[in-house]
Amino acid sequence: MRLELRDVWHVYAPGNGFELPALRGVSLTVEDGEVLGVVGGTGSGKSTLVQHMNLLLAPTSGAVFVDGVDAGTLRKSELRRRVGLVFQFPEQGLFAPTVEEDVSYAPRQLGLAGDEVRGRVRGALESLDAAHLARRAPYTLSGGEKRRVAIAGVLAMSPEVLVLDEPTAGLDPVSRERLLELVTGLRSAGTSVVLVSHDLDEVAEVADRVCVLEEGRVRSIGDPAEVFYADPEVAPATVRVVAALGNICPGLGRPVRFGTTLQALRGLLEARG
Amino acid sequence: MGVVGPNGGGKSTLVRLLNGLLKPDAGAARVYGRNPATEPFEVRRKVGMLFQNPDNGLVAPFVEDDVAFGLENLGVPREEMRVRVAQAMRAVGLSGYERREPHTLSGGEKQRVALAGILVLEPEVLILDEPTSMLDAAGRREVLEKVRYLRGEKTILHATHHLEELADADRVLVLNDGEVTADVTPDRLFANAGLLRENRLSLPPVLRLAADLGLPLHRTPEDLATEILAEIGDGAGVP
Ligand SMILES: Nc1ncnc2c1ncn2[C@@H]1O[C@H](COP(=O)(O)OP(=O)(O)OP(=O)(O)O)[C@@H](O)[C@H]1O
Ligand SMILES: Nc1ncnc2c1ncn2[C@@H]1O[C@H](COP(=O)(O)OP(=O)(O)OP(=O)(O)O)[C@@H](O)[C@H]1O
Ligand SMILES: [Mg+2]
Ligand SMILES: [Mg+2]
Repeated sequence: MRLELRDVWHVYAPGNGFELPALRGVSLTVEDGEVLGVVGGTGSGKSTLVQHMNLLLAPTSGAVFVDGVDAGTLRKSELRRRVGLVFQFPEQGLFAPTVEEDVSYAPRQLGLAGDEVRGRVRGALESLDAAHLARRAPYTLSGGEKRRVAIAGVLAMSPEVLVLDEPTAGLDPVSRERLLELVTGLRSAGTSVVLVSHDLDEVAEVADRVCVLEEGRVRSIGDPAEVFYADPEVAPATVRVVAALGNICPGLGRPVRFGTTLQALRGLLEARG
Repeated sequence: MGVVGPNGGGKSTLVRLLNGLLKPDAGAARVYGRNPATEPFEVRRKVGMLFQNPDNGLVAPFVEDDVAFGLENLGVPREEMRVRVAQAMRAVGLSGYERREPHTLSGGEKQRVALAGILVLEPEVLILDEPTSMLDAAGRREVLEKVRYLRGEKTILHATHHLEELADADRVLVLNDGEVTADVTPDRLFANAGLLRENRLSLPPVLRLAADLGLPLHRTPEDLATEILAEIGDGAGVP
């Protein structure tokens, strides 16, 4: 699925004195089967932006298109099924008395058969290392456990676009790596993923393109190497190391991912050392 | 002291025991010799606690009331309260947000408000449960600078999944499955691949690059770049 936001503005609480344009004319696309990283400072509009992707928030002006069709004309239920959103605060998505029921909720809504639902729930929980939590009450989980269950709940819906708002906040490092592998795997299977994150290193690892938001506007969008090397101050550690060596060692190129950066630096040390 | 370990390892449980929200089933918790379970108010006077989820702590109608909440409980006079709240709001970069409703804030803004609510109390002990999880790079740096500034003066317990935040800690406690699996200096932890792996930890990217290149564990990209330059300078010379 291809998602497009065209000149989207969003003003919270119009007319109450704290009127604030959180989005100021954002245009961007999420291409079919790509991973789009969304980064930007606190309050820059990332969560507001991604809640427009399934019209949980309606644009004050501008429009959202799904495969060229105005999303406003689609049924909400259909849109929410095709574009799955995991909230920044996982508690916002957890309601049922047990984890299992919570994760079953969306597939049940789809009218799937019992076996199919159970299969999906098990698969989703397993892919997040959360199968052991199935019988627990969501409110008794630790922070990172809640996060995993909230992601599983949306994953079980098999959306065409998976939108993750700070999905790795609160995950332990191994779980974080596993989640990034999951994102890469979904992408290979044709799912588009929108990944909002403060962790530029993880965005660098999985994103096909990066969008930088600043005060409700798109500051830059495109190839991660283009975006990050244009502004190494706000770039992942890999890019900052290479950029600091850049003038002296132009042969390094512009690696972004950890593996390619390590290889480039190794090459440099071996050639000279 | 840093506290790290897998999800569900027991970090948040530990901090809740220290502030009297939970009682131990066996054994005892003491803060300045007092039992937090039976004397929670005495303990909370000395211990400022930042909860893991900034959403849960914010209850007042306006941001400024939320930040003032703890001071009201301590019976601080109105005038002094106003000054201290304004200071704390400034310290976390949220001046102008006083009359905003907490539920309308972004994730990072909420976390900053929660932090202001602790700093304003000037407690002797700070317990921070993943204080930077929702912050951008600048916000993260500011919080860590604050922690660095207060250390030596205050006791700080800092739970996190980001090991780089603990590079300056005196000790790091590793909690896994409810047990202390290590109590070490950050350098020892960073250098112990087995210990990291067993506890679902991994080195942050700069340290990992340095380790994989066989170089000293520099913490910042700039320091690592300098080290690399020094290395290649010894070889064929820098063009
Ligand atoms: N319900 C609301 N009412 C009024 N203002 C809001 C509301 N929700 C968000 N805002 C404001 O809109 C701006 C953008 O918020 P948003 O949550 O999109 O930021 P963000 O980029 O996700 O930030 P963070 O990284 O802190 O999560 C912020 O300044 C925030 O205070
Ligand atoms: N209210 C509760 N009832 C039952 N079990 C609970 C409750 N709160 C926490 N637990 C369990 O206790 C264990 C420790 O949880 P705790 O919240 O202390 O972990 P944590 O180290 O803070 O994890 P995280 O990194 O995910 O925040 C977990 O297995 C969790 O599921
Ligand atoms: Mg947000
Ligand atoms: Mg916790």
